[in-house]
Amino acid sequence: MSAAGSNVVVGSTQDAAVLRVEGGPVKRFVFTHFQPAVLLAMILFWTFAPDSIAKASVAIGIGIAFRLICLALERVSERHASWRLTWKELASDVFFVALGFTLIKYVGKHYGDEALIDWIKHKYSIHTAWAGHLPVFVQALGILLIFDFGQYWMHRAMHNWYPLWLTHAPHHHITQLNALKGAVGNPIELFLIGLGLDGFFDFVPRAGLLAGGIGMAIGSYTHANIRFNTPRWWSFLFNTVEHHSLHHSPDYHASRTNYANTFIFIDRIFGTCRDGHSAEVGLDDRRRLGIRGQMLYPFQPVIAWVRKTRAPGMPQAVAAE
Amino acid sequence: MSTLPHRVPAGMNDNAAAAPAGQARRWPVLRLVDFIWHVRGGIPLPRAASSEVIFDRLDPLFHERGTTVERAADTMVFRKDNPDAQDKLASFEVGYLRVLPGADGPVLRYDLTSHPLLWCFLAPLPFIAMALGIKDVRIASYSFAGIFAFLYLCGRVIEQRGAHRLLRNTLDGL
Repeated sequence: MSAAGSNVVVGSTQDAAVLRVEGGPVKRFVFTHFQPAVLLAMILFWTFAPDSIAKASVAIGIGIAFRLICLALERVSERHASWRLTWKELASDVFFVALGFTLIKYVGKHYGDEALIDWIKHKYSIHTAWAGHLPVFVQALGILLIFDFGQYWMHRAMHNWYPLWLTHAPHHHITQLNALKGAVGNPIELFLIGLGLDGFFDFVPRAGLLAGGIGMAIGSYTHANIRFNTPRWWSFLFNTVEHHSLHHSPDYHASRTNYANTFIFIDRIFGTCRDGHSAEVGLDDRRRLGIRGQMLYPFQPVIAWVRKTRAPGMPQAVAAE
Repeated sequence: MSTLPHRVPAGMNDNAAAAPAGQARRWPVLRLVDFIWHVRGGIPLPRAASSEVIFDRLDPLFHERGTTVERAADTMVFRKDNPDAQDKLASFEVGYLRVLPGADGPVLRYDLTSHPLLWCFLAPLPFIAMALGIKDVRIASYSFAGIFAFLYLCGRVIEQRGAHRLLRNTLDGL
């Protein structure tokens, strides 16, 4: 194990240094098995629920309810007091959640991958109806893997190409993690990170719902201030708050790891996975960025250039006589 | 210790009839609605406590990153520039604290300005506009407009109580 920076612990997520759930046996049992139990429940529900229930509106309702449950769990088994949600942080976070459910959703629907992929499929007569004949669980895994694979490379590109980094950096300015922080970021980044290639395949709607349920059951904790006794197999396969806190740490090298949103094994395959965790999150001197800062950050070079061109010239020095 | 050339908010002057200051002086109507983003109150103080002792006791509260403090004989002003999330007064950009005489002894009057409260109060408006302008997101937009209205009400109570409790507890035992 090595310390890569202040409060950054790199090593196996099963090391003693990893925070364990505190409290009685019932609490420890619940917070050891909660994540796998929810995953199993989501798989069973979206596989066997009748069509009258298996609808997008139900999925949205479950998503909202689960987010609230995660916020409540943060109070029961808190990971770090320094990540504790305050009213101001909540109000700011809800603003970004609201943007995600309204403006970004609208833009994504009309100008995002769906519209573009439909156009490409129509233009080149691409037919993928065969995908809808696969077992629903296989389709759901396909959706998740295709989306996460694309997201991995988009995220990695954001950390390696300055124009994309300008859109992603605002998200890294968050100085604490909680169940809503995944929604915080510049809208351009949120639009880009939401692009996927799964639309090329005509998967059935039920597979989309199942994929959404599985994604929720795995990905909801990555920004959450919840202390779990995460099983070893879970940490090997899936992204966790431990992995993601390391990704958000102020340590430059640690922050360039753990790019996958759901399946951390994609990072393992490409050599960018680092097990460990960090209590400190943020960029540079860990100053938080307000909503205005989040919105304007990608345009910083343009703003700086305009200011420079409009700035009055330096006064000429008067020569001494 | 500096003298305080800054405007002392209306209602915090010795003379109750004193004209309101600053923005409220230029826009008297603001005085009627600035409770939206202002948190005000008072804490009774022991008769023997001097302003200096009281402000010395409060001073550690402002040992936070991005916080500056100015003090005069009976007034203390703090300003916060991008405070950290866990700063207990992070919701307030400016705070005026003043020791004033009262009928039952001196009182610490405070007037704290909160832009987050103001923005949260106004936040339903763009979402209502979105609901009226974009059919696809109508339900979500109205829902979030309602959520922000609810959040504002909660915040107005939480931040007022939090600030009052923090100041009162800090001065406890004087």
